Amino acid sequence: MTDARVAADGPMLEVQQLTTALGGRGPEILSSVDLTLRSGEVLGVVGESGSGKSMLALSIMGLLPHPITVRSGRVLLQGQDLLALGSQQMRALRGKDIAMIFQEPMTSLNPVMRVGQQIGEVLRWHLGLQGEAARTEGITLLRRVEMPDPQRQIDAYPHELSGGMRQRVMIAMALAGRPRLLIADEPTTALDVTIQAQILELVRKLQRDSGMSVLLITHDLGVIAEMCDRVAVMYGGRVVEFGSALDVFDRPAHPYTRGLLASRPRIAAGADWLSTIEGTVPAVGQMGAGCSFAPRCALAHAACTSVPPLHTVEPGHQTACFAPFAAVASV
Amino acid sequence: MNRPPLIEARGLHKHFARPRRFLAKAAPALRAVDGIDLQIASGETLGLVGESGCGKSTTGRLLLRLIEPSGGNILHHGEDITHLGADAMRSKRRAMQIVFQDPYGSLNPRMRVGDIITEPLIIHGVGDRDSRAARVQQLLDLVSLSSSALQRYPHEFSGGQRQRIGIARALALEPEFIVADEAVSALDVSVQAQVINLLRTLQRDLKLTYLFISHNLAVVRNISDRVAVMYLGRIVEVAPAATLFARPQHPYTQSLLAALPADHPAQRRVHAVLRGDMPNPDTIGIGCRFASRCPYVQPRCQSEDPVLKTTEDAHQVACLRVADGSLTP
Repeated sequence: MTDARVAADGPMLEVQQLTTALGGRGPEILSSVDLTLRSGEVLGVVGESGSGKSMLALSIMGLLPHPITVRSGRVLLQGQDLLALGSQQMRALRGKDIAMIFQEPMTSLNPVMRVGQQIGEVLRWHLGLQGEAARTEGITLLRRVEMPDPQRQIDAYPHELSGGMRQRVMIAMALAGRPRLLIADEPTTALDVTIQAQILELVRKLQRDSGMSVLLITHDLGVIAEMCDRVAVMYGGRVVEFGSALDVFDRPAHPYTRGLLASRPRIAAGADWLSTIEGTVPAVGQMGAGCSFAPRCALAHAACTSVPPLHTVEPGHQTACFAPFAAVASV
Repeated sequence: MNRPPLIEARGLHKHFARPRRFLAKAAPALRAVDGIDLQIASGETLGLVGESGCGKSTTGRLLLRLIEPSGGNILHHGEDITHLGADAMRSKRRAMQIVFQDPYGSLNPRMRVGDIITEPLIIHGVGDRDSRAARVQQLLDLVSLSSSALQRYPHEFSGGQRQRIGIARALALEPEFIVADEAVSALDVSVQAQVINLLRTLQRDLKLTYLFISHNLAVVRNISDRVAVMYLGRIVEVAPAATLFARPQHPYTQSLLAALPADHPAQRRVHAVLRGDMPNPDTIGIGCRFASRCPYVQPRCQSEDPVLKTTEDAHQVACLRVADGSLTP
């Protein structure tokens, strides 16, 4: 059952040269970020602390905390520039056409409201449902997110629910407005691995059933491998690699992506010394000119004093590096 | 084993009393650690894994008596330290240290790094000002931090660097045993790799023994010699790391491994074998505590409590069906 409002062609979301910064003249946090999320696909954005991935999500939702502002660029939702919208128009979209789920359900849910009331808020605000109709729809939504005993849990307070159940409530609230785009920011990071498996299976199922597009932000490469059709790798506020999940995992072109994939401990690899990336991520405002990864890159050379643009290394696979790894050997 | 293990737990329990509401019946105590036996040999790394509420962090703290046990014994080189007085315990603690999870909460934000690392030496009356300063410099070298760190405050450092400071502090008194309680869990992947390698190097060079507590199975696989799996306060399986991950025998361990996300998109295989959530610890009754979620449960599992039994060389499992062979792996 595909939501008829999901367009068959044309990208769902296009981020074009998005630059955000700390105040009018402060250092950049996101620099010329380009991203395309196709309709019906799951796009992963992977990066470590300081990569800017959460800022990206907040920029798209129009939720940047003061004093961070957008300095330039566009964010197009099926062609409509979200950054050009007024706050009322954005509020109408938020929670309806674009929904977001966060890492910590306990801090994202109102602790003094019953779960049914919180889902009801979304239903009332965006779909005009009231009273009994809202309650029935709320129970239906809880059932859809596989909440055990939905008739009872609809009256629960968040603290009465486990982490996994709270995340299901968040997903139910996100789905309530039948969004075209779901942004999931580290949705399973705070969950135990067996619960994470349940939630990932659930999100995959819901995505398939509704055809909604998903922007999945995480530091966990395993979650990317499990869930994503395509992936963007971020470092220091920029997209450094972009391609299908298969291509990026098989033939990582950017030295950072390569280093990141290689530094994962893997069960199959047994007890080996881990490969590491020298150095640490520079803080915001301490990034030098040129390629943000150059100070840590074993292959940095003279050209790296300019910022490398994203360019194609093989069809559908781009990287921002002057001397990327050739599209041959795998990690 | 002829020599006693470095650290041993026998029948260790920790029950936390629950606050009573006025006139209400007392709630049953929370049985965080409910009767465990553990041996850690000198020089080895024992990984301790499990999900939230399994009791692994509590176990680590019990071994160091940072929390007092409700029952059972802790032995250090065969000596029972369970009821040692404060002074005797303090000198024992020179040999047993801990590195915590939270690089932002485990260092005093008002102390300079140099003072943080020197503090254990001062408390235990080690050396004089000069020899302590030399020792602190040596510790910074061990964890690859520059001496400029001495005058700086924790907030000036990244998560990975703060963990290094925590490790330097733990090493100050030349311990033989370190509990690493989710020591790399709050770190980014690439930083995690650096700190894991550091822990390995230190173990080799300083002949350390580790209890490595973590919910991250891949990290545990990488660093551990043996692994123990905990569920709701009990150990359900113990085996050498390679064996545990290649041939897990306990149904819970199998579910845990099945739930792990893939390494590569071509191997998508997350299979949520386990439905539902961890049961409320209040509902622990007689019988196997995994029975409510076990795919192989039989009626007797509800009434009989399995104990750890050796199934093959160094591999122990607490499961009735594994013990009688009715569950072929």
